[in-house]
Amino acid sequence: MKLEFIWFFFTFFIVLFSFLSVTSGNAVFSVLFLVLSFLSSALFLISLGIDFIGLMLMVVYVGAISVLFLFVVMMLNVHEEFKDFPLFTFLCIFFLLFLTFLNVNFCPLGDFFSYINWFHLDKLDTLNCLGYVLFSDHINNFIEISIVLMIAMVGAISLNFTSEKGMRDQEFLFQSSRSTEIILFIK
Amino acid sequence: MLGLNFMFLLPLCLFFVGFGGILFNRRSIIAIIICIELLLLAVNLQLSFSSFIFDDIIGYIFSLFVLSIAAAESAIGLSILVGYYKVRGNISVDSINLIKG
Repeated sequence: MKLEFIWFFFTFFIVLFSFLSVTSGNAVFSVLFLVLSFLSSALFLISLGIDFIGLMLMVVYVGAISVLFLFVVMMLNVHEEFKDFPLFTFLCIFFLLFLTFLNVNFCPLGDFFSYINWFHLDKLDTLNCLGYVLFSDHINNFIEISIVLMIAMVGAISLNFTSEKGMRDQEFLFQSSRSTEIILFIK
Repeated sequence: MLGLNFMFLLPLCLFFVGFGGILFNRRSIIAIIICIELLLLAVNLQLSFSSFIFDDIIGYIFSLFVLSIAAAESAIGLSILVGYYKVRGNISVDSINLIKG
């Protein structure tokens, strides 16, 4: 029982769930299968030992983006007229494109077990390595990404911000202040 | 079975599934955004697997950047979709024909 069988199962689940997400007739099923494919790809990455990226996939994709999708699907009236999905055309094109890449040996470096990193230090795990490079060599990219996220946050709110006209508001400073005529004896 | 080729084939497969979903989509705009998320997931997996194979950190870092951009893009896209729904009343792909192009 080799280790590679579990990778095969993860691969199968990722492709199956994404295909079901694309070809299902309901928006809720699409989002559900999307969440499942995100989850299985995160588990795949964790099983490879890339723990940080897998957990970030789970937190950001499932925790934020899928929740956004669920909110939008709940809010909007997604009435899907499921016309005939051209499944045969889709499968033919997919199969042809897939076959062109199937016979190429992408990894001419050799087997997995022959490429061992002999300089693996025990103290450095994934998070340490990422932080070591991200905050020194790629700090510019990091700051730009944070600016992009801030613009996205502000933009998502300001795109749907309508000032409520006709809303009966209280102006309590005006209501509870005294008029100056009485105080200063001015008519 | 496949050796290490699955690490290049799985993201490719996922990319083409998402691509075919955009191409053959007749359901709603939110299905298009879901397929865009599948494309970005395929790119993320490709970067992570390549970085795993070639034992380099740069693939993981760029994967983090792609993840952040995917989050920002889906937030903006969905808020535009909500505004569009307020104007149009439905989000079906067949009714995007005001320019009559």
